[in-house]
Amino acid sequence: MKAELFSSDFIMALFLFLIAIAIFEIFYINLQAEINDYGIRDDIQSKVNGLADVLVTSTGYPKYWDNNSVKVIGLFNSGLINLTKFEELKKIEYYTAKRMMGVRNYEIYIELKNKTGDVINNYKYGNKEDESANQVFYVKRLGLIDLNGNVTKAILYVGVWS
Amino acid sequence: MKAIIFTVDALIALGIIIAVISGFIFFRTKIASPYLASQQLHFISEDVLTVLSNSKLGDVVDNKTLLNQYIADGILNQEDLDEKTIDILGALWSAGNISESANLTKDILDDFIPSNLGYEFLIDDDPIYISSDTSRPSYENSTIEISSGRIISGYEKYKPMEGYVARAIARRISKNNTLVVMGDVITSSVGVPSQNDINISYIADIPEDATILDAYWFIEATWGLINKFTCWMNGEKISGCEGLQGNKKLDQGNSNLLELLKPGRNIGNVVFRKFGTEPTAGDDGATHLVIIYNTSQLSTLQEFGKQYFQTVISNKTSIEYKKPIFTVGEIYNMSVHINLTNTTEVKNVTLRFMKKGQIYNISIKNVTTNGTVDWNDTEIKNVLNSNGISYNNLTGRFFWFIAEIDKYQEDEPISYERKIVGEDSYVSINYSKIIDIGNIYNYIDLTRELLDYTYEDVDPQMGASGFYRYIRWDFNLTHKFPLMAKWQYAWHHWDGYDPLQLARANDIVIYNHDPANASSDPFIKAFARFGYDTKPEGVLIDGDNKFELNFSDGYSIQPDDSFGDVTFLVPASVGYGDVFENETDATNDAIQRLQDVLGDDISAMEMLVDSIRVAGVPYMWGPVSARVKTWV
Repeated sequence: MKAELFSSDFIMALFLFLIAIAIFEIFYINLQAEINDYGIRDDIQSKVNGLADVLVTSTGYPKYWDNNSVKVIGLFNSGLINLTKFEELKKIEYYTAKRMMGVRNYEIYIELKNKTGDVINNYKYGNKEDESANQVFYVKRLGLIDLNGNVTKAILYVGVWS
Repeated sequence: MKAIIFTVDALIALGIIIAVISGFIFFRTKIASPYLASQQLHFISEDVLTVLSNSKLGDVVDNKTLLNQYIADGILNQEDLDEKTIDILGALWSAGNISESANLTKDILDDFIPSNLGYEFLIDDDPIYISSDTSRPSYENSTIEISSGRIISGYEKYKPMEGYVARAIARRISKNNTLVVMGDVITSSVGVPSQNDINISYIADIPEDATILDAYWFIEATWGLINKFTCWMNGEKISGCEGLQGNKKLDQGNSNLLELLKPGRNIGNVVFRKFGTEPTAGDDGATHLVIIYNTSQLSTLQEFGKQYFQTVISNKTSIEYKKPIFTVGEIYNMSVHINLTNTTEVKNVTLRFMKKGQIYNISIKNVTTNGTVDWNDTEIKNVLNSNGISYNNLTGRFFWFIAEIDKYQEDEPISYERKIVGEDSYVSINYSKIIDIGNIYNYIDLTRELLDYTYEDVDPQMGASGFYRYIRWDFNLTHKFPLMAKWQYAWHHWDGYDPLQLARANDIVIYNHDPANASSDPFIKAFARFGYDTKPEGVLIDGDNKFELNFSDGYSIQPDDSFGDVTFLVPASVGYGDVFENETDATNDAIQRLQDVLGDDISAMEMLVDSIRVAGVPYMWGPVSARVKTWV
């Protein structure tokens, strides 16, 4: 009678212990993933802020660069986001642009929209995030563009994702 | 039973583990960096200022109906559409059109700034537009707020860029001025029971065209108690001024002084007589004749170049004459000339110099056969320089020459008459004229009595006789060019005391005898005069002024028997002012500005107003800060 009792107690306790270990392992794995995600998130946010700031406030280098001469990519010129420079950006090979922008490990996507949220004249560049994207961050920068001789307000969306 | 208990323990332990891990994950996910959110807000506020600074108004205002309405209403003009947006918003603000500036700001920014942010646009800290009328986050509930600013300036709106400007010059004026004749310290002394009269003249030169409005004469014999005096004006005995004792203020209420005064030269005479056991007779330096008159003369300020002695006749004793000198401007050289008449029996004259109560002997000289005695610049300067005093130290403060007409002594026996001929006895000063006082069209001088004074800390040793140890004068010189402020005091010193003597002008110490500090200014026994010009900077200013005297035990002043005045210049013209569309408005503006400058005491009786047509003269607003706040 004593042996039977001991045996059933032991089996019950072992069962519960294994369940606890399993649950703990599941949480631990998730926690590790979360921690990794936060590290990536901070890195992406930092990069997207820096990238957007350079694009809208810097002329780049040289000042009047094209896709062949460019060393630093910046879209600003004479108070405007310069559409000619955006056209030149579109000619730069994607991985080269990522390297120049210092976001080699992530994907980038840049687009220029009007106040209603429509992309202006297909001014977009890079890879837009898809459903597999793990972390996606966008920064909106306000500016002016000269669109066919009409200066108008525009919003530059700069996205970095992994 | 054991199994059941064991199972429950395990379940509780499992629950705790799950709760701890879940909580850790939950809170980890909630940590969001405020720095990143702040960065986003900073970018937006900076971008907004960049857009406003770089864009033309017509490019960024979407509501063209609003723009057209403002143009139709004259709030904007067509050219404004090509101006920088921030300049127009600022110009509207500077013109007081805040709501129009706000409407444009909202139109430009509201569909531009992400809708999850609240924002506000300010100029010079004036709120122009805040997004509180939208569904954006309210400022009151914001958790993070960031603002960016720029310094901006621009042309004022609604001011003509071309038109007329005018200036005005007062060619003939009417001013109410105050003439003050302060008595010098002049004494004689005769031994009892002999009698001696000392007759002192006071000259008041009133402009020939003047209308005399009011006058009073405060006369104080030495010691101010029982010495007697009688007075005349222009040869007529002044009613109520016969055998008076101590001191007396003669005015319209108790004398005919006003009737005896006339435009031109007025000569008042006071005959002082030593009474009883008083040591001396004469003027103790507190006497002042004050005449208020109206004149059309722009310049009535007496030059400092020759400062005359008063005519004095002491019929039986020597004279001690203490002559205070005050000059505005750098002193180049000085000389002293005293005429004692060519029939004088005076043997010699001793000249001394006194500054800050310290006396320096210059020399004793015999009177020449024509009855004069002179000290040239070299004689005076050598003595001063050998005592460490340069002429630079004398500008804008009182200093004294002391002349003894025959060797002066108290209670001396009677002898012969001594006379100083005031019209030909003077201290001659060659000095720099900082302002050409006589230059017509430039300045109008005015002197005003300082009537606003307060006092406290009554001198207990003087009982209830009105002597105080703290006195303060206040006076306003807004829009004036101050020249000098001067006082003469009815003072009292108890022998044996070494009291504090502190004078401060606008909180700046300009005299300080501190008995506990041997290196402080020396003690002045007869604090009979004090004055200063505009130096050091701040003591006499265009604005509110105050002057304070502090004494400690042993020294006090009777403010009601003391006297102070301030002299200043008022510009007789105003330059070109604002631009007006028509000549009449420009002229009227110039006249009004001139009247404002002249103030209550001066009226322009004849003005020269000229206007010219100008173009391309912009008015500026700013620089001010334009600021954009954003928040979540």
